[in-house]
Amino acid sequence: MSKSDVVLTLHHLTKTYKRSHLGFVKRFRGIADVNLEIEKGEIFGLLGLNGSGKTTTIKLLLGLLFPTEGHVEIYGHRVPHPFAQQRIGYLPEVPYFYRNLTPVEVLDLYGMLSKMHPKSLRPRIEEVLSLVKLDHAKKRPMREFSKGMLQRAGLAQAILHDPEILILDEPVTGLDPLGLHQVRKLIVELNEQGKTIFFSSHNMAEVEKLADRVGILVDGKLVRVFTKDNWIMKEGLLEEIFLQTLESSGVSLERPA
Amino acid sequence: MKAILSIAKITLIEQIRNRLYLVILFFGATILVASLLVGALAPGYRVRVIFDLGLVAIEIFGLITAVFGAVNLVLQEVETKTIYLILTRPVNRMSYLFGRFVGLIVAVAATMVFMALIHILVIVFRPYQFQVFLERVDFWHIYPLIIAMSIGKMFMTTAIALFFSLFATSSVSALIFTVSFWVAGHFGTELAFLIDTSFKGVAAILVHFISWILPNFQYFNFRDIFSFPNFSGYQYVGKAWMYGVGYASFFLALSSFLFSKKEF
Repeated sequence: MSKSDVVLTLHHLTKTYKRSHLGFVKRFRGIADVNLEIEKGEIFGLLGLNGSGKTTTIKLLLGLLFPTEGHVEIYGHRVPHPFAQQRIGYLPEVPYFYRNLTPVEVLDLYGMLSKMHPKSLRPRIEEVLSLVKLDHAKKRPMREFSKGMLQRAGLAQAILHDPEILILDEPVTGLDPLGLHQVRKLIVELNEQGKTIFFSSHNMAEVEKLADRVGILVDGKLVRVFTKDNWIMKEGLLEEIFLQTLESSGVSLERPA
Repeated sequence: MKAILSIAKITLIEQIRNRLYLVILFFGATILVASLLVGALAPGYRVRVIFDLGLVAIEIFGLITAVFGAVNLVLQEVETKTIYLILTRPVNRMSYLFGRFVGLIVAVAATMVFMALIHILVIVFRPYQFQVFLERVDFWHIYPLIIAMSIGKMFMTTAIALFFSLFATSSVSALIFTVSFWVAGHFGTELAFLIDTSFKGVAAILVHFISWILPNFQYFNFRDIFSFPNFSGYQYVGKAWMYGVGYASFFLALSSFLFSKKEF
């Protein structure tokens, strides 16, 4: 991997949370010493159990959390940086929107904040709403949206400004089989257009279908990174690798989920 | 600037479409009209009663709009994580804060002006009594100034409400802190008197510091119009507003600094 191909870098990224109560400070690990380079145009899947540090990693990439040690670089700029933020599209695990606004109004706001030109913004809003199959609901207040519709609206806002990197936190959570198929198709199409995609998921089957490379987080540590070649020959192999990795990292497979 | 205006615009739209805001407006208007009944209890001072009650109602409903607006829009935005989708864009956190403030203050001012218009209609609804009232008070000159001063108070209160909405752990605590500041802000003179007469040494410094942190709304108290029948001190109004803007700027700067350190 040449340096020029790397779009996203995690340098010794560490996050320790502090909770204080009655003067007692308790520290616990979010993630520890994560090093990773993501290449332009790849789909990287981050796997891990609940509380393994997936969302912490994503929040650090976005500048919503500040690292305790290390840093994140996007196109060579330390996060948070406007240059980096302009090139990122983010889909949260559960996208919440302003309940009284319509998708058009919400996308108009996000477009303006992403420094899109007002003239190109309106046709682009129509385009993305059609891409995520929400054009029929564009004038409905978002309080009337189902979970699946909110997820698709979330995807619409993430791709609105045509970002080069998409960061998706559990992108298929809460979708019905049809919605899941549509979102998966959209992710593949976006990748074919050259977008780099970094996503986290619990859904092994989705990761198996989508990712070029996978990283496994166990208790905040990135214990294994491997490419598609390792699981492509057999369906279900990724799950086996995941479970083996957990076991070899000292996680009991019999522990309560 | 575009980011500030976009956020302000969306704040205003959200506020206008919020059922709670419409309920506040409805109740405000109802109380103003109901003041006609209360006025009937004091035949000799009918317009005075309607006038006083209306001005209090305008201010109280301005306060409710500011507090509930800040709590509903900002605190909920943090709690429901809608803020993620704003802060992950190339927008600095200060712009977000100013946008919310501008949107809220426009909503508060709109509420107060709307209520003031109804108030005027209610007052002139009694033409004879109003004519008598006009002989004592330069109404058309002073009334806009009173409303401007009330809006000045709300300018400061909105900055305080925004601060507590960003850093309080619940809507109830944000509400209690803001209303406490608003109430304490009306006792600036009493607090100054207490400092001079009752405290010494470290305690005096501490109370003096508290009095400096609290807003002094008495600069804006022009509701007692009969003390200023021919008031023409625009300079004073300007100075009071300068104080208000300075105070709000201090709170916004403090909010902005703390917000830049906040993690989500």
